[in-house]
Amino acid sequence: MSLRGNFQLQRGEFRLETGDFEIPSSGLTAIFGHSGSGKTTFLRCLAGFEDQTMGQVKFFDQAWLSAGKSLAIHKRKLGYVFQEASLFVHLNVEDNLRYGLKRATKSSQVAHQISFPQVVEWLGLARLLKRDVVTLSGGEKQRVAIGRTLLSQPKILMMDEPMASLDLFSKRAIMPYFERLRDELEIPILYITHSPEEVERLADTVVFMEKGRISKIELIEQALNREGTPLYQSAEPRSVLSAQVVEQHLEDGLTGLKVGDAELWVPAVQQGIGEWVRVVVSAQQVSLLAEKPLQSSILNHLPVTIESLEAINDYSVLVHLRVGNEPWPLLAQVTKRSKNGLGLSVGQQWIAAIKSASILN
Amino acid sequence: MLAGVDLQPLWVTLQVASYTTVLLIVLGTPLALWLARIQGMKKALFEAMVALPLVLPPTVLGFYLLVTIGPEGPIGSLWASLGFSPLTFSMSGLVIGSFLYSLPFAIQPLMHGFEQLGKRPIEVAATLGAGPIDRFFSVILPLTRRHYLVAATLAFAHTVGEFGVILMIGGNIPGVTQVASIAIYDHVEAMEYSQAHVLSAIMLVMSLLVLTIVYSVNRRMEVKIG
Repeated sequence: MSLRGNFQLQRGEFRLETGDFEIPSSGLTAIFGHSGSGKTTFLRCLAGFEDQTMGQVKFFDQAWLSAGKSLAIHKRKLGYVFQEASLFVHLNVEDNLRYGLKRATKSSQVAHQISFPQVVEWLGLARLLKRDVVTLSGGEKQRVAIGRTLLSQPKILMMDEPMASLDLFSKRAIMPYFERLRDELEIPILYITHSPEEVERLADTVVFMEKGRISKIELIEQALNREGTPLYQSAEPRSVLSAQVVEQHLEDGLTGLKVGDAELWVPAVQQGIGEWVRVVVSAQQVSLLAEKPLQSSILNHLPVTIESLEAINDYSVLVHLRVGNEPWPLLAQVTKRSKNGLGLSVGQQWIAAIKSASILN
Repeated sequence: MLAGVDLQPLWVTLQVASYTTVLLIVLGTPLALWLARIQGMKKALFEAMVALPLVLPPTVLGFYLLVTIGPEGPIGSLWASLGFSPLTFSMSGLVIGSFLYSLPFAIQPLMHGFEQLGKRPIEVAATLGAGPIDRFFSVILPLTRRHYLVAATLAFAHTVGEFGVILMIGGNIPGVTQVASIAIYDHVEAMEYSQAHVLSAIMLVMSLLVLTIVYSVNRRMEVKIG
């Protein structure tokens, strides 16, 4: 665990009290909660912006906060992307990008991990370099701000709802850049959001915040499959499985995924063979069959074991199924009548027919 | 027409105003940064203290200064015991007096500039690896340069126009502490209207010229920053 601590901050009526927490040293950790739950305050305290913070923060073996002493922010090697791009208006795009790079170059002789051409390419900034920052669109500004942060060679990247000030169009345009960052950067990323969609698409780990406290820190699969997860309180029951791309059948527009020992066909995805994706299956799209049919219009038939059954309303039952040794269950919603008619019970082997499945990223 | 007019007071005025302005900008910056950051009653009290010279009669300020930095005063006697020549009736004394008298004119624009700038650009610069001094020169100063221009102009102009404080602590020693404003007063007292005319006209034209240049530069900065 790379970043750990326990701190408090009192501001007026609001009190932030984290309790002990640990954040993984790689991947993207989403900080999720309603507005007013303390997400931004939590991240600002972590970064060192709030002087009144009491407690400890340690990043690997560097003490950021301990016994009332706070390490100066410019010595922490952290990157921070704010809700608003906050570019320096007296500098053009290139000088904004180079601001942190210059200072990182001065303070260390070690070769940079993130180079200027690389960032320009990643974030599509080549055409913007000589532009005045006030002439950029919201999405462009935020890309420049992210680039500027990356070039300062941070050891950890913190982002406070970097998409909050963007319109839907810019959001869609910038999302792939975030996915790329998550996949290509080797540093931990902390990402505040109140959007379940962003969590599903981007996060590896989720920190749930509620009323100034951290209520839970868990892996995304755990978080998505947990009943009553705050990620989608109102949505229909569904399951999220991790799967590996094993085959591309472009002529059929399909991609073959491996879930446990079984193969699952989904509409073609961009990911290459060997890469991991998250598959979402709505419980209503799953039926149970006694054996694999010889002929069927449904492509996906997975052998499963019934783990548990629970009534969710007067007429239907949610069946928790296990695919091979997969850590996350597959949910099927069947009618009470079917359950009784088929005599479904825990421990039985069935075939799950999946009518449709979608991919999160 | 200039013959027979002593221009020395103009030179003294220029010197006092230049020293004072430089001192106000250098020492005023940390003070204004601090004032922009603090809040509540503390801020109100210190803002009021800085603004005092705006409302006090210059003679009141001059009187207290005379009492403090005069040879018998607490600072004056300490100064003398360190082997320095007396502050009163000297250029240093004039600069100290002008510094306090023009303080609000330098501090207020700077403070407003820093408040307007907010803490965000400074936070950004810190996360990008810039230390406090680096942040000031690479971010704060370029983004508040218009406020610096206004502060320097007002401090300079206000010092040039000073009369009462200088009269109280600097006296009227020709060539040393006799500034233009006091020289003009003396000429009028002595019914030397032609000399008063020359000095006054030079002051008027120079002031207009300086302000015009400042406003045009200010306009251009505004256009550039957008």
